[in-house]
Amino acid sequence: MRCVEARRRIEAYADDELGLETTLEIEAHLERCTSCREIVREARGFRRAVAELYPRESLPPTLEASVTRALEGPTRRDRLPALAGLAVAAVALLALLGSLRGGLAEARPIAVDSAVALHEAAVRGDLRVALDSPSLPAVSRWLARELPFLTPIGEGAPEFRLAGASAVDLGGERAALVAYRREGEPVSLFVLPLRAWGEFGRTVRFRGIEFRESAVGAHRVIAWSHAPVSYLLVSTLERRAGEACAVCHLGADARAFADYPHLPAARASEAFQAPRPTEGSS
Amino acid sequence: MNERKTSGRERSAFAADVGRALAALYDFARTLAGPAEAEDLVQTACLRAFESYGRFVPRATFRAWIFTILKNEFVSRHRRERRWGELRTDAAVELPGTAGMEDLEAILIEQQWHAEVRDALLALPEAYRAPVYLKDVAGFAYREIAEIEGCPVGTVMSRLSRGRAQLRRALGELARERGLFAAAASRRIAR
Repeated sequence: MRCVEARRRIEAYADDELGLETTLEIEAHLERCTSCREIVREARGFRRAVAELYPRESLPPTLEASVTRALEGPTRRDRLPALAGLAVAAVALLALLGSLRGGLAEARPIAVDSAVALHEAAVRGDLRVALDSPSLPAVSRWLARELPFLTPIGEGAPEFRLAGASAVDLGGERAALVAYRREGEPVSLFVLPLRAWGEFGRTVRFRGIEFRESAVGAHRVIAWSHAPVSYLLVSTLERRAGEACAVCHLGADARAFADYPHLPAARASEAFQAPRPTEGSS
Repeated sequence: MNERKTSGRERSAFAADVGRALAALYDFARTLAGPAEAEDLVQTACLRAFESYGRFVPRATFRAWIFTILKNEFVSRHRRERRWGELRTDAAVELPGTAGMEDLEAILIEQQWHAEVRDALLALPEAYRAPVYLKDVAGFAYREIAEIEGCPVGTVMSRLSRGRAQLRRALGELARERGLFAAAASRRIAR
């Protein structure tokens, strides 16, 4: 890629809005071109400055209360259940809005808990997949037959060894489990017919995709969507969300995602329990 | 309009979603209007959102969806107003270069120019102000901004580019007026 081509996309690149392939092409160019690198550095610096300095208006204290009042108003009668239910609903809403200042516990979707339970079974060696196969074509054919909503699974980076696939139930939703092994440890990729995840855990934007990251027990969960399906990656090792792409995108290796913010190793509130000492971080 | 009632569980989910978005929604409303109108816009948006929540199928996120509702409400309220001399964003504009402003980011942070950044952003013409705010302050993706603003992604990108350039220029001018570039340059030489 030449400067002319790179510069046409350089703003979108600095905004992490480009697709994976184009991003990697531009990064390859940036490795060789100091002037384009400087443009990116300045662009990102300016965005960062604006984001940090712009003072947000503080929420007027009366606004939350008036929003609640508006929601329980008389014109809503025909949309809410009977009068008794109305009172209950209003109280519930008020209580919920009031509790939010103190920090609402993130509502982790049931699907995530189901997925982690399945992954734990895989870690224990208790999980038997329906199709035990390292062959990507075989797995893809099987998935296309069993779970037609799926888009084809791409070939990933060699360190993720495909182990097989299964149809699973995640909180009532029929989903695919594509089993991998990395460095001898199971890595579980779930694919569900879900357009988007609700908010839970920590949200990080990377390359135009919103990732949800969460620690559930000893496991790292990374969730993202590409409508009409959503993905969930569960692994037991410390993982950067950027490497989630490497599972299915050949050519994406760990170095390409080196700038991705590293997940904090442990947060006291999440009581992270490492199952065994890891041999350094990758 | 859909007669499906919002269930109890949906109400809780809605309250949670709205609660998280409320402060950001108000801040966005304040880029469009003064405090009283902004509060009114937020209330109306929340109400509209609540009515439609049972049918909410997120193509983007809840936050982008409710921002869209708010923006649409603002636009429909002000539709009757004729804004003469509005910026024609498709016109080619010859903008002076930004050479010699390499230290600008450092200066902005050093000087802690909160009010200056906000004033400069709000002084941008509306067509440029919205994408710059939604991207750099609110952190939305291009396609979400396109949804909120009701225009194609390509338009978002070009307005964003011009808006940022104009913002940078405005802040650069201010820094120049206050002699801050000269000060930064002499510090660089001294090192």
